[in-house]
Amino acid sequence: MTRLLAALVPLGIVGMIAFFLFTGETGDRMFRGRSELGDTFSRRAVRSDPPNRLGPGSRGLENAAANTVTAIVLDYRGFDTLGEVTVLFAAVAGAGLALFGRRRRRGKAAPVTPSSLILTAAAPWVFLFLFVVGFAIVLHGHLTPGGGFPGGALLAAGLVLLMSASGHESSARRLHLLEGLSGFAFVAVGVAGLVWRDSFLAHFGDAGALGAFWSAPVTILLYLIIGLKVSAELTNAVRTLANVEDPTTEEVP
Amino acid sequence: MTWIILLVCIPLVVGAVAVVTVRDLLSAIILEGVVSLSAAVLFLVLGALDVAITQAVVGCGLTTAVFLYSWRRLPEKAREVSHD
Repeated sequence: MTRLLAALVPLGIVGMIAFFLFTGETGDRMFRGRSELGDTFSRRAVRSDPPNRLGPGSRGLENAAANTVTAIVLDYRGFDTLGEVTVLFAAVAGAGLALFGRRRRRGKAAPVTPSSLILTAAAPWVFLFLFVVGFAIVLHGHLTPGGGFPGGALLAAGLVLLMSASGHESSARRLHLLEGLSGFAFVAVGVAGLVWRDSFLAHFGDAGALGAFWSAPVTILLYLIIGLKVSAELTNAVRTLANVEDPTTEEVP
Repeated sequence: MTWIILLVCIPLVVGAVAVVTVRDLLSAIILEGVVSLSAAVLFLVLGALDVAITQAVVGCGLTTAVFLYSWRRLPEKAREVSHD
């Protein structure tokens, strides 16, 4: 009975919140607001009337990212992306908290096995390739598919490869610093949008020509920040998981 | 197009079945990477470039690396799975 009540009360509260959110004036505003945003975006970015048709080189746009998905993800729905980055941070922090704390207690470093010659010889070159491709994907996020998340993952893969080849882990302090700084920079860019334009994470500055590399500068900046943050976080996650002591081996004296 | 997709699906399905049936854990880890790589090629063929990049890097690269790091910590007798 108490269990049923304990389940029913939160459900009732959630139901009430949902009822007030989705009906009446609030719901009206929510859904009308959404369609208004859609209209605004299509008027500014995808209008099809011939004299005003957009193409490579079009100027005077609100956000000149040629990749419309990026324009939405980082500009019009930039706040959601900030939340997404926060979720990634929380996941990595949770894994670190659950696993790294145990290692600290044992106070024993992970045994280092020497890497094979193939790995040590090839790793710098593969890392160089992954580094260049990763940054290319990150910096072209406003033009082509990809962007900060896949590009950051590529950079992280390169760092993990270098880490496993050299045998010693990359500095956790530096990774944490990079992670924190990029997270701070994301919010700082958002506040800059609030200061120079009308809303948080709004695109400020000259948007440039559609399709050019130097277009939508704030989008480039945000994707660079996300790329650095994701690479630092994923490298850190693999580092944490790789350094955990296995309970079965600890039994052996 | 359909034939390319079917061709890519062969290692995907065969690898996925092999991952759960193979006895050696190291082989299972590598096969899991092969399954991820086939999925990445499938996404590439279907035109989802960014998903393909992410699948190749995270699924095939980082996850396999994490599994290999954990495998390294296992004692000898735990490295084989018994399917009873």
